[in-house]
Amino acid sequence: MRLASAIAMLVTAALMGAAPPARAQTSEESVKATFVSRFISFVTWPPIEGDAANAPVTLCVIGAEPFANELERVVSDQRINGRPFDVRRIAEPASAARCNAVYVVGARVEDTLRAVRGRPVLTITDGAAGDDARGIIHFVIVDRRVRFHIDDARAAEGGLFMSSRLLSLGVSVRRRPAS
Amino acid sequence: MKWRPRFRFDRDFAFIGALIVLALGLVIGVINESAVSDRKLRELDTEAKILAQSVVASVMFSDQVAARESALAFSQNPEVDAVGVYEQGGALIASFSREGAEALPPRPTARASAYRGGFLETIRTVERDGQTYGHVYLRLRREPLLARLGRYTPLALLVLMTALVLAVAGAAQGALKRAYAQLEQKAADLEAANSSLKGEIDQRKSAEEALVQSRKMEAIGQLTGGVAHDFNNLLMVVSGGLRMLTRHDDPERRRNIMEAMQQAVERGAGLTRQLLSFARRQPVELQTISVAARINGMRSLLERSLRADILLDINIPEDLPPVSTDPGQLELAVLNLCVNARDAMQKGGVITISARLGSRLRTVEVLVRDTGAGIPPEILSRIFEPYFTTKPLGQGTGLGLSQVYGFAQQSGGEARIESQVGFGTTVILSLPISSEQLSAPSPNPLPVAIEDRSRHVLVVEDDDQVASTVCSMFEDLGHQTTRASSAEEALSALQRNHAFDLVFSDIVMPGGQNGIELARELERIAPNLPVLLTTGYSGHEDVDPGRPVLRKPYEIGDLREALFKVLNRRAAA
Ligand SMILES: Nc1ncnc2c1ncn2[C@@H]1O[C@H](COP(=O)(O)OP(=O)(O)OP(=O)(O)O)[C@@H](O)[C@H]1O
Ligand SMILES: [Mg+2]
Repeated sequence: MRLASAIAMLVTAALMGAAPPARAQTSEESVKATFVSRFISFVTWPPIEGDAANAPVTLCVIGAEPFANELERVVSDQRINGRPFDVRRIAEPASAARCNAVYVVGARVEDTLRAVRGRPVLTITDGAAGDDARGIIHFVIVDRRVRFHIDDARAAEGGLFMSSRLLSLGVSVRRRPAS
Repeated sequence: MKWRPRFRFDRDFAFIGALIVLALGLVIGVINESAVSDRKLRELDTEAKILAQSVVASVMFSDQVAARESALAFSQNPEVDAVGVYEQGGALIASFSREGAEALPPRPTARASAYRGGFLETIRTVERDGQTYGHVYLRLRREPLLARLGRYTPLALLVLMTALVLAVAGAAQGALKRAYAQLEQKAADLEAANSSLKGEIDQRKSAEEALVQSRKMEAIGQLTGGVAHDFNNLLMVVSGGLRMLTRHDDPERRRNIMEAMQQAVERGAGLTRQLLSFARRQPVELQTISVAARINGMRSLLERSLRADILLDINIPEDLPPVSTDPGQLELAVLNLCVNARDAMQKGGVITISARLGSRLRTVEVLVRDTGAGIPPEILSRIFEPYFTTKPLGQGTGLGLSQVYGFAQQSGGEARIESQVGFGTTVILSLPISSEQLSAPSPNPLPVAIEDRSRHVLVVEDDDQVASTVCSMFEDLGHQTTRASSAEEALSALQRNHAFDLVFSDIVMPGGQNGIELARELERIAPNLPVLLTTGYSGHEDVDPGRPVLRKPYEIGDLREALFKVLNRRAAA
């Protein structure tokens, strides 16, 4: 059963299930936004003091206003284990340290990566957007489909745990050092 | 055979039991099968759950390759017929199906696991953290019927075996019952055999009785033969003596010959008595006698019966009271005891005959003791039995002690025996003391003197020879005789001549009246005329009591004594 020919259509169909009917247009952006919201399910953060069990999951976006809008739309009525999402547009890479996850593109990728290194922040970079520096998750397009590399070693530095189910989907996975 | 219907019932019962077991087996199979189906469904659920979990990431990130890998992983299970992975919108992102399998459902809607045709199928949501991201479809082939049936082979076998066992048990029960019936039949046969055996035993008993009777006859035959032999010897002595008497004139010599002849006649008389006694036809004739006189008088007889190596010691006090008994039988008993003692002392010994006052009140005991072999204890209880003998055929009849016992009983006394093997035997005859005085003085040696006056005797005897002998005996005693050969003749002679002092009549006479009837007639017509009867037979039970009877053969002394008694009784009356 070959599906390669229908990839685009399928991807579109997949996204349409989650997308409100008002936005019929599917885009790479919306796929990525959906993926970002779904990564949260496969990552475990170290417990943060004073954080309530149902505190919102903070998703920060740096340098990608349309993506931020798309992400906001995707997670608007979503909950993960009862926690709502909180999408923030931030300018300062230093501010990313307070986020659970940060999607960063453009000029401030490296600064941001440096700023949150060793902190429990899921960094998401985008090769499809032309960036070379990679965060823990790095989007790429393979066979016209949105895929991702995973840097589990970097995740380990910040005390994050990546689910093996997610790891199994990575185009490539940089393993964390054996403890 | 009241168990027969039950036997049927048992066999039916076994059959019904077998049916029940089969039905039970079927029910168990069905229940089990449905349990297995339920389990299969649960297994299907679990499989679907695993599938959903394994594809959750693939679905969430639209990774068709990974989803397909997961689906293929499930195809390893041969039961799996088709696998489908759907995204939230309903699009199939991965699938697997066996060759010729039915197409996957185009639009999945979650539904409970269920059987459909030869398959089990289920659709399950793909969820993560409470969010639904898609569906999985799983279809399993149902186990083929044969395989499913195969699973029940052991059960089926078990059930069949049980049913078979029941059937066999039923049949065995039947067989058992049949065997039981046969047994019962056998028992009945046995009973029949037993009763026929009983019949045979009865037959045998009567056969044995017949045998005893024939043995008795044989014994009597032997006895008769022995007596005939003895008689021949005696007759030879007598006839030889008579012939010699005609040839010898020497008085000394003639006396010897006559003495021998006299002895022979005596022995013949003894033998006859014995014979009659054995035949148990000798009536007891109780008399008051002196034991001492009687037994002392037997000495010469006894000594002649014994052997030279046996010493006879008779030692009886003269002053013992007289006893009431049959003197002839007493003599015979003593003779028998002495003969037994003699036979028990093959190497010689002593026979002691003694008497004493008995330990029982008013009895006199006569003891005959020997120093012989003695009697073993095991036969001691049997020796008084008639025909019991340890002696070889022809030598003993086993009637000797029987006579002793019977005689003692008839006299109102008893006989007992004491014996010690190797030392000897003592037989004790206990006889009652008589309440009367001695009736007659002991017979004295023959003074053939003519007592008081001469009498006229009417001798009634059919046999000429006997008649002449008897007449000459009376004449020897100094009496005068007239002979009549029958009762009628006697009566007419009496009518003609009233001078008879005594009628001497034989009892048995051919035709007409016998001696007893004659005596009764005379009692009527001439009550004062004394009658003395004589006979060679015993057993004339119809002789009137008190009437004297002189037993043949008798000697002149006996005749004189009897005559004396009869005439004296008349005189006293
Ligand atoms: N004095 C005895 N001593 C040893 N045994 C005796 C004596 N008297 C009798 N018996 C035994 O008792 C048996 C029976 O005796 P019985 O006089 O009745 O018959 P019998 O002597 O055998 O024959 P029969 O007297 O007729 O010639 C004898 O065979 C013998 O074995
Ligand atoms: Mg004897």
